[in-house]
Amino acid sequence: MFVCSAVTTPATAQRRFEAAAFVAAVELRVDPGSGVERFSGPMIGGEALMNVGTRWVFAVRVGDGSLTARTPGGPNRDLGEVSAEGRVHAGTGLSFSAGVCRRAYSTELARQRWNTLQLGVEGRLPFLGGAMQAVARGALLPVVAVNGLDHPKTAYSVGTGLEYRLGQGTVGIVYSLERYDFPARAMVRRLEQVSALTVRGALRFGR
Amino acid sequence: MRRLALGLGLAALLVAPATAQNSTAELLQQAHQYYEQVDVERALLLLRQVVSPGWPFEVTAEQRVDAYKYLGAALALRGRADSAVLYFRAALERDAFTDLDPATFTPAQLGLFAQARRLTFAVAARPVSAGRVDPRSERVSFTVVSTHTATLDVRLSSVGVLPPIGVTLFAAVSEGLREIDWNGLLADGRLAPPGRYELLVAGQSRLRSTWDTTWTYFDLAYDREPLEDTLPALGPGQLLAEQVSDAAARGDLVKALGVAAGAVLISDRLTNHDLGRGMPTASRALAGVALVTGGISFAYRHRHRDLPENVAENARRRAERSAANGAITRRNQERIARTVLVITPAAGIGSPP
Repeated sequence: MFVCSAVTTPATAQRRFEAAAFVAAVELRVDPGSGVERFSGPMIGGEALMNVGTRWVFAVRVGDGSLTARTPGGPNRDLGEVSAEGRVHAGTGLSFSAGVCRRAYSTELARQRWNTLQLGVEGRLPFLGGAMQAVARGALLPVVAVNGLDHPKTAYSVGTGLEYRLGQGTVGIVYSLERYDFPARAMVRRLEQVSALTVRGALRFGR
Repeated sequence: MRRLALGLGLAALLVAPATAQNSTAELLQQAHQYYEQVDVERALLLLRQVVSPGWPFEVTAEQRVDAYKYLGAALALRGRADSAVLYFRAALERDAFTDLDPATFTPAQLGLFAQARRLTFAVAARPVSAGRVDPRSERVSFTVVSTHTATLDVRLSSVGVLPPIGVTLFAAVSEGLREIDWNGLLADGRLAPPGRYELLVAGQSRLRSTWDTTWTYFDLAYDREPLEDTLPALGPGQLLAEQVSDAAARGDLVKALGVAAGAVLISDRLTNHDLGRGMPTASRALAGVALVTGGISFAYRHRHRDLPENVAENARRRAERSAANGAITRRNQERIARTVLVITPAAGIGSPP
């Protein structure tokens, strides 16, 4: 989901494209009811955005990572993700978004698929005369479908960061968190949490 | 019968002024005919009736001047030179434009009339005739007269405008009729503004120690396309700040602190307590980056207050406004150059219509 919430740039032109690449340090914490398991590792990915008019932005992202178990007993996991998002700018520095994301955790034994729908809001505050922006965002995840699990009681993502504008390019750094609290089943409650520090570089094309 | 009498009486009252004027005009016409037929006695009889205080009908100024003129002419034919001069003077005093046609009157009459001119001093100006005048190619014409050689000062000045604006049209020795042309401009070359104007004619006789003045009024209006207003000066809201303020520098620092605090809050407070903090090292790393960035931004903006991009943008906006105003001024000047003056005679000092 940290890919889903990667830094985007407000549209200012009639039609403009943007290509981005990101690298993230990811940590996954899971408590299946038997204690906290911790996984961490790198993730890389790419992103393509299209600005339509002055208000709309559409984006697709893909990412791939490898998470190593940091606690005894858990198998390592591979992480793959693809997402799509639409964003509308509602005013100076404020935008609303809606997107879907498909994520898969793979081990040697099994594969777990997550399909989520997110509804988010993002605020940007310029500083240094607009050369930089402070970014804050949050999203609710009203639909989280995971094979073998119920819908979580609590599901949201939040993040904050900075973005630097360098000519036609931007460089951003964002810290983000996703939290999923699943309902108890047979007196066992499952908790999951994904934290990420993402560095993203983007280049704009077109008018 | 009584009603008929009343109706006739009313009709008589309604037509009375016209009848009175007609009576004077008819009498003058008849006197002219007698004069043409050299029936001087009868002509004198009728003309004296017209100028008599006992004449019961209305006599216009023109009719009275005409009567005096013909009285003078008739008496000149009778050889009564002094009386002829007296009546010619009476005519000239009432209308300085009075003249004798050399083709109609005898040299003796003309001589006596010239004598009357020398003895009488009066100046006059014809009422300005209505019309449209293009100052580029046409002139407003004024006709003034003095009965004999005089120093004339003809001046045009605005009425009801403080301070009054005006222009001297003629200041020299003159005799008899004089046409004076005006190009519609003031002394400084500007087009005379719309409004009511007074044409003042002041004359100082060169033959006698006497002087005379007269006035006539007219309204001047413009006929041209409306002028455009120039763009107002750029206000504070239309120009960008050209220097960073202390508040803006502090604001940058506060924003960076907000990002740092947000990262720590997310990792420490928004995570599930049972799972523990989410990548606290990463959140603090971002907080550190934000704090360093904010500090650098604060220090940089304190030392580099100028905002060259804003300065350039403001210069562009000013130049854009200046160019627009230049174009408006040019268009206005073209319209002013095509202005047509509309002249209308006026009765006197008063609000223009």
